[in-house]
Amino acid sequence: MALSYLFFPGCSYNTSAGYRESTEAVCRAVDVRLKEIADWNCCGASAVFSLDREEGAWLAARLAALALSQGGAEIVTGLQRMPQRPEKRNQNPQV
Amino acid sequence: MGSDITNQVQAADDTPQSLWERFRDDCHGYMIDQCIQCGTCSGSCPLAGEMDHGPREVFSLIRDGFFDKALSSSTIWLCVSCYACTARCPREIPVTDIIYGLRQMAVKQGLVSGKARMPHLFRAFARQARTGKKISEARVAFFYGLRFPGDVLPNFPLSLKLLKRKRLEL
Repeated sequence: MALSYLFFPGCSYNTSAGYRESTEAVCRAVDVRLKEIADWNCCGASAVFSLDREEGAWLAARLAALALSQGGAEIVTGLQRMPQRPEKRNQNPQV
Repeated sequence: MGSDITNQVQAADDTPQSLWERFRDDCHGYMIDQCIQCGTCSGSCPLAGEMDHGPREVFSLIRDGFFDKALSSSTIWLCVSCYACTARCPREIPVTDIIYGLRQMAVKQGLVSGKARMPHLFRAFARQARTGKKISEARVAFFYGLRFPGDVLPNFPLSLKLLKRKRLEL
């Protein structure tokens, strides 16, 4: 049976060169099904986090909450920046 | 109104020393004490030539009590988060993360370098991210371009090519 994960495509999924094509090809090859998180938001990349730590954390928190409410504790993403956001929030107990 | 007054009182109390103490405790700033000034960070930085102080100098400024100068340097806004400095630092200082902390504090304290354009791009980006939807690169470029048309307009022919190849969404 194919593994199934919630997927966070991110804002550049359609426009970054080859990002969508390679993600879909890899998932086909290893028989993994990706289900896009409904109503996902931008992760803020480095821009939002650079201006305001709390706001950067909120964006990540909203995504985590959406994923949990849609039945997945694990999220798959091809973005380089996005996974660092929740991680950075964990590094600092204040946020 | 009340919060405005509170902010002003707080701003008056903030000295470079008190800001540094907050940074040291809240943003891993204490790790700067480990720096041996070897310059591996500045040597690894692809943008060091454009900065008014390289990362090594910023750490030196902070340790010598010029925390406000570090906050208002162009350095922190030129960082492209390549993490070369963090990966190579022999003292394992998370240089890039410290730069992020400096940015956040510079914004909060109103000490953003007047030379830096990245904060304006970041604000155009954050304005979109705040909507809770996905970002449109074209709209980010538009709002940034209102302030710096000279940065955006010369790229117009490139954006048409990107559109044609479906590498840009409106």
